[in-house]
Amino acid sequence: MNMESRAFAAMGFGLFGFGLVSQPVVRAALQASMMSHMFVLVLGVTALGYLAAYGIEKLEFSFEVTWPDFNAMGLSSWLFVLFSLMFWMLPATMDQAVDSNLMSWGRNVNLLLAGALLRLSLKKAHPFLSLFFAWNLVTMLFIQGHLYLNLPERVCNAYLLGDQENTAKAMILSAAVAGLLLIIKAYNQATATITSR
Amino acid sequence: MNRHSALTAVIIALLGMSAIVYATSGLRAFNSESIRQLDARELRPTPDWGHIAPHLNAGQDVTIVTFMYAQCKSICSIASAQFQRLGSAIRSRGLQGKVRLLSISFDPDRDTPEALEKHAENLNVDPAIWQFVALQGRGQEMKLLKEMGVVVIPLPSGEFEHNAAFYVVNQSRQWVDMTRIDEPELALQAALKWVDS
Repeated sequence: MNMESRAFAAMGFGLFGFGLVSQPVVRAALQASMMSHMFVLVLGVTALGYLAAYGIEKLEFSFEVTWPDFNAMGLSSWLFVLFSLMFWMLPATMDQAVDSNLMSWGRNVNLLLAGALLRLSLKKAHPFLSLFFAWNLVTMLFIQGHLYLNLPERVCNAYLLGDQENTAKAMILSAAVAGLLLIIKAYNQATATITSR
Repeated sequence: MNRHSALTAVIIALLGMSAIVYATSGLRAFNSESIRQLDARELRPTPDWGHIAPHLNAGQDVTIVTFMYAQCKSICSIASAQFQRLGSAIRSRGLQGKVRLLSISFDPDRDTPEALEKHAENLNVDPAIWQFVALQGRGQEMKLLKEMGVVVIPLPSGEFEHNAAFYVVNQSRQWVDMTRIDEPELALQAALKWVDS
């Protein structure tokens, strides 16, 4: 598969996936479990936004607009990604998204944009800045999972305690895997920097 | 970093923090239960009590309410045990006619008036202090439960998973406070504030 086909597939998958999870029936089904809410509708939609942005970027769509640089070193876009994920992973906002269609739509659109900006961030930011933000996200995922696992009560009114425990275990596992990958990435980056001197 | 980027980063950080502060009621509550407690204390909402209203003795006494179903073997049993202790405290402190207890069942199919009477007999309750009533029709049930933030999830076994709390309702039928079911003394203290006032 050549680069253009891959880019087209990534963009198509990202946008089609977003359209699919935004359908009221699919959205309601995914919101019925805390696990699918957290991993598909929060982290998954962010990944769909990333894929769509990756595809669009590789297909080299040009809008011929010259903007002042609002995102030097990818700092603004990283902050947007961090705050968006922090906001929609709060137990209170997860409950509100289940209760309200408007909040549910807001979450989807916000996280699609966050995913797209994540692509921009990774492209523009210095690797160490990206590692700093990514490490923050991984730590947040781990601490939140640890809290959910050890609380004797439900943190979200919409979900059962067993569902919360399973989600918490999956969050801790994901954070551990992502953390390990980040350490390898940081090591490789540091090695490359030293070698190039 | 240029001025545009610095300003954008500051604005995004401020908006992100503001959204999180707003969603957590000023960083005081991270889940729906805590937010409900703050809302009750600060906003004192008056739910639509429907046919429950006469059981709240408007203008006479403060009521501590809990939502339950008689066949519950888990959280409702704990709440009932705490209500028994509260009933004893009300009697021993001479608070009859000032503070009352009310258990509202959200399982009207099984908790008929006769079934609730039998349940009250089993718990050996003093009807002058502690009363039982079931919600009627599904529409009202859903509306009152939603207004009070009570989430009831039917399980395949015929049981319900639900959140439980003690709700303090003043003489004007305003919901003025909420405590966890392991904090009955706090619920009584909150009720006494209104008795004294």
